[in-house]
Amino acid sequence: MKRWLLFIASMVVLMPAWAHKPSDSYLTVRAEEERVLIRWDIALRDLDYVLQLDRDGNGELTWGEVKQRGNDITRYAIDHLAITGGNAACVPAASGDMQLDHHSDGTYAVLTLAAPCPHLRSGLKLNYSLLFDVDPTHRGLVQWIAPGSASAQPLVFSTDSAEQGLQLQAPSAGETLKQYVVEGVWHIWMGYDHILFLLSLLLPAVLIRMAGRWEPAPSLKKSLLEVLKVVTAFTLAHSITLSLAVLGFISLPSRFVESTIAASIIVAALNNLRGSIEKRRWVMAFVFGLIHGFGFASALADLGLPQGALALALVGFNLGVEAGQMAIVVCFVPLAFWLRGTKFYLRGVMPVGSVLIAIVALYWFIQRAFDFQGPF
Amino acid sequence: MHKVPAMLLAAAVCAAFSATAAPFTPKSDSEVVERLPSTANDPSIRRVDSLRKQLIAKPEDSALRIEIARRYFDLAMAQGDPRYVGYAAAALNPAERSSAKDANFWLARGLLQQYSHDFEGAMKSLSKASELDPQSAEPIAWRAAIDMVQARYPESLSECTKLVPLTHPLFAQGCTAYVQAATGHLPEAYAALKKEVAAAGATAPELQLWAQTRLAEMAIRLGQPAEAEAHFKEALKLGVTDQFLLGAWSDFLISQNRSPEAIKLLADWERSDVLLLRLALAGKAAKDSRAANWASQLRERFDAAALRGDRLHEQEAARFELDVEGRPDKALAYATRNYTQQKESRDAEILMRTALAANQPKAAQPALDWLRESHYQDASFTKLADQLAAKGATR
Repeated sequence: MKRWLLFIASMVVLMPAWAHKPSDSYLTVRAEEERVLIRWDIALRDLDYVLQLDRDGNGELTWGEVKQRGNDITRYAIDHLAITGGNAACVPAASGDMQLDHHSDGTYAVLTLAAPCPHLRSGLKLNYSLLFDVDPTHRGLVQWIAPGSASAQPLVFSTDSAEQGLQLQAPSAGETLKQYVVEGVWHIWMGYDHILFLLSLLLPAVLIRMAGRWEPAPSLKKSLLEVLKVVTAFTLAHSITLSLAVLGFISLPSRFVESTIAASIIVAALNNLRGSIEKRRWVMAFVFGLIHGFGFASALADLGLPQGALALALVGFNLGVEAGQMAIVVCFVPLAFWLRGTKFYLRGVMPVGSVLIAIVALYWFIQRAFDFQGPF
Repeated sequence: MHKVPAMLLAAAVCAAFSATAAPFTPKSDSEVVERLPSTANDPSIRRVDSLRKQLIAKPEDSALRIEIARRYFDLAMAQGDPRYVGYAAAALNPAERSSAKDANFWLARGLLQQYSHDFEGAMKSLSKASELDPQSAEPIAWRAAIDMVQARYPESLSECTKLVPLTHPLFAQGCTAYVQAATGHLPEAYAALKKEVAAAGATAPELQLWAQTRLAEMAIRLGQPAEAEAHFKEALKLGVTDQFLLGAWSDFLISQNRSPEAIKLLADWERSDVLLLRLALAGKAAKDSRAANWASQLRERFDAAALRGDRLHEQEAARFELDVEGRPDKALAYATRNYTQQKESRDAEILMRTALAANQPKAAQPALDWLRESHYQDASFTKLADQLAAKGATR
């Protein structure tokens, strides 16, 4: 019978139907001037496998059974973590009582350790060997926080990477900032919806509405002032909501945000045909800008926010968005101003372009609001 | 695109570590803080525990090591617990030197390797097992399965042929039918396997379950849902719990707009990743109030896998991102990476669907090439391919 089971499994269960998580332990390793501080979470189930914590063998671990073996647990852990600072061993010892914590797959013992390490500045190394002898698929997941660093760097220790050097230099503020500026620029260029909204508002900036018709604006100064008002209002608004959302003060359902962004483009584009909101276009830029800010926030959240360098990421991303936006304005405005008196602009770009933008945005709106997977 | 895993990793790191912010001390010593897998009342765990104790006394006993590895592997299969695969590897690895001439060693190693998707290594180990013991059917059956996963049909067929004198005719026939059904002979394969099932009469329920599930899948592809349902019901009647059957049956129910039935079926299966995915899908379709919870549990598990660098769940992750989260770009990144390793019909299907949804028809090219070259028959695949071709992919 057993033989059949395996044959049959061989033809069907190649997909890993894991009902459980594989074994991991979680370490937060932080270096100070002359010592290394560690918080180490190890699954009770794993500790039981190697140390037989379940004395009465009833399959239930009580806090008493775990606590009683606290010293053994600490010793076992320390025996499987070697820290070297400048070629000298830095031996960790418990610096607090063992506690417990829940992870998604069960209860973990939480050890708090400290290792004096006077020479850590001349190179720090970690050799991790917990459980590798009984379960080579085990992993040590380390969050490494360098001295003076606010953010953590993730490292994975496995049988193939049991020893790793710990980088003492934290990624500098400048590097973090640069990374997020680039992401911000990238986002506004790849997120066509923001560009289209901005263009809808900028199309009429080189024109003025007279007697129900669009006429070329008389001066560059007037056009630039109009552009400045719209862009500033949009920037101000989305910066406010981007910050509030990222800092966790407000959150809106993403389907609502994405649908409203699409709707904002339709409104802005159609307004160009009728010109009903001519004088106060900056108000529209501001009101809808608030919603676009939430869109930026979810893009930023998707990138992953560095712990401790949140403000830097936020500022960087926002600067990137503004820079990307300015690049579009700088390309578009002179061209539009130059063409503003032509039939091509007045009868073509302005009305036809606006209608096209509205159609595209309408399509997005339907897709986003009704969860419709269309052909595009 | 390569950015997606890095981003996921960063997000997962934050999630995993922020979730562990507040350790606690239980108030009383008698408080139960963890329930271990049923050591006390599971005889198979007790047995392997006692073998481990024997091993401590005789660490040089390779046969014992191989037996422990096989038993842990069986436990992993039955309970879906990856720790047992780790324990099996730990028991087996030291036997390498002394067991180089033992077919059982290479078979056990091959099983463990294919579980961690080291298909190349697994094929080598399984070939070695067959060299040392040509009469053993198991390594041949596993090689046939891996060849199928990687779309090497002629090789798979030749392994199936080798099984004929070594195993039950229904299994050998099922193996062959499975390959033929993927290579342009679907109606014939379906008819032949159906006949073989009828001729086999009473056999091991696991074998019948396997054959009925295969028949159900073929019937779906032939556009015969009523037949498919009859096969599924035959399989379920056998009373053998099988996650693959439950997954296939619930996929069928969801596709037939019968999601509430799938939810009822899977209610107690949240702990299985693949079935939790079906729960999330069915829950979304049926607008069940628990759908959001299932989705967030699943998200947590994918995050945890990303954190340790696991690439075992990419097909499921792609389906999750596409059908539950509605993020075609991320889904496509997963489906693309998955297809570099696994090339079964399900893998091709998710690649085509994500490429379509992400509006990147060219990304589905490997799946389209496979569809053309294998002559795989399925109306829904043809439709996907047509839609992709209409958008510029090469049919």
